[in-house]
Amino acid sequence: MRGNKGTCRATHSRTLEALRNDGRYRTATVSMVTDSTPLDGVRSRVVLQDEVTKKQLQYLEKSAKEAGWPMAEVEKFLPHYSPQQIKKAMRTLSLEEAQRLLGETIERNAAGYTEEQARYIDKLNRGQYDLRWLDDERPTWGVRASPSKRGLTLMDINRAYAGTPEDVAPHNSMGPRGAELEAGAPEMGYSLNHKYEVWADNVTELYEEAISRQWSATRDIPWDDLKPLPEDLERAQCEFCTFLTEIEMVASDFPAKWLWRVNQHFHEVKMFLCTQALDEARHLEVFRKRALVNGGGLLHATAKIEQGLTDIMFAPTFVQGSYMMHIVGEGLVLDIFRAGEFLAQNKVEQKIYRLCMQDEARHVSYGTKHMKHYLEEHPDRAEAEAQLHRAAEIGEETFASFLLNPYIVEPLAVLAGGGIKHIDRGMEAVKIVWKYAHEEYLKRCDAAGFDRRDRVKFLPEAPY
Amino acid sequence: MRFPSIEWFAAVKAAADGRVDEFKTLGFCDATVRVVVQTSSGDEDFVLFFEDYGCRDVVVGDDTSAEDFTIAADLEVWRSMLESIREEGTPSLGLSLASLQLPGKLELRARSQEHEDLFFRYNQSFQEFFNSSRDVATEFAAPSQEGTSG
Repeated sequence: MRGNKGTCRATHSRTLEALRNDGRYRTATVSMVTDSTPLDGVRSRVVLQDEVTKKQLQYLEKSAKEAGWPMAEVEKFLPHYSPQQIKKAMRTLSLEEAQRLLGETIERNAAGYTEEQARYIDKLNRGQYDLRWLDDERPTWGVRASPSKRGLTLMDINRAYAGTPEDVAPHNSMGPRGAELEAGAPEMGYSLNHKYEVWADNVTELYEEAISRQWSATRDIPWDDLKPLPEDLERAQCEFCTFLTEIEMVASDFPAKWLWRVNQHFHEVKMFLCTQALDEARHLEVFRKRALVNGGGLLHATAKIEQGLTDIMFAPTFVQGSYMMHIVGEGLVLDIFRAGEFLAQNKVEQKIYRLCMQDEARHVSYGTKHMKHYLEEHPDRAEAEAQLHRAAEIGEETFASFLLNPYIVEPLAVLAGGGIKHIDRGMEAVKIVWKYAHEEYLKRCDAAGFDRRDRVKFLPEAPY
Repeated sequence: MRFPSIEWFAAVKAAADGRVDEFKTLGFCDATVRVVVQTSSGDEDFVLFFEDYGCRDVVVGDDTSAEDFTIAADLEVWRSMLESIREEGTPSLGLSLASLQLPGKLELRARSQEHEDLFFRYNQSFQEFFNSSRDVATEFAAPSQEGTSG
């Protein structure tokens, strides 16, 4: 279910109150362009702009005339919705629909309650309860999920009830999968409503694994054991950590960007992406801490590295961004972390890299299985492959740009060689990373049933 | 206890079982791992079944074992790691499973990359399993039978 491009406004209602009370923000607006359904942004009752200008009113009058809405009706909406929201409603809804869908928030009594709320308050004050919920359908009544040895997992509850999502989400709301959803729920504006767009057959297990294998950069790294390093090694480690601090957060930002667009019918995917966002936040944290804990500090961040990150962030579809991030980017970072353990100058760094490596391998695993599911279930396999090839071509160029960047390659070589004097020896380790990254990338494509072997854009061996 | 032998792996499993609370903090781990020790008299292999928060079983490997991945190394490589664990509690730099694997001293084989990636996903659990050998008196088989530790 794909909607039109539109504009939506959103913030928290309590924040709104604060903003309204602060003159500086009186006319502030927040907007973002997004895929949206017709009601997206219309039903949001949060309005950051509470003064309607003369110009806006004139524009509304013009739009109302075009839509055939009496201006008197438009004015009823104005205290509750922004001019932009009303304009959007005029474009996407009939007057009757708008009155039905938006009117509830307008018809309130003097105390601020809707008619239905006032009736319920009256009933409660007379000692009567509604109790309709006791007569509702009970589709899960009597279901008892059995915990496994490791506790009550998502796999356990999925075995008990509604564990398999449908191929197309049945509605566009937050109503839980398997629950009875009453009519009239607002559209949430999800744009990823097909299972093949987001699903991976291991995503439920990966979520549980992620929760189970969390660690703390504050508590679990023996920072006190870190000893001063020779300047060349400290500098190399800090340059490398600066690079990692720079890039890690993209793997939080990317899932966060798409998270709300994933239909809640596929809640396991949303939950897994939440764990990934947290994992990557921790990676930023641990590398920033490492850079700042031993006398070196944050060094040089390079603009070129970020070009690859923008490719991921601004990928036009989730699967293309996922390919560039989970398969190409995190696959390479996984190899770098694995090398990091080899390059560590002490057990503190060794543990950092090992724990990050575990997290990264989990993300790569989701990406691989997601790609497999996407290719197998997409209604047009050729189109699905074409999309992934387009992502691969960009992603593979980014791969090469990372391992041809002196701010990445040379610190790695200094660490691997044990100092600047042995940088030549260290380059051998960098070549091994390149070779592994190439081989494993293609093997992950193979595992997903995606043939990149004849098209891959980077060489199997480092060109140095 | 002689390394490699099924008795040695069983003793390490028992030591790891005694650290179940530590393994729980590492999170669960589901993988079947074949460990191959290359000696002068041929390869000896063992299969370790990791499940939930620890190692469920260890058996002598045979052709029917459906392992997720295999880690194989010369006896001397295993010996270096285990002696280092014995001395320091954890392996020295360059002697952890992941560190040995990158330069190829420890070979990692799997039927697919997805299975191979389990080595990385659960690496800390596997390393801690071998770290549990610090509590197991170990003597090494040929070719360096004179060397013992523990």
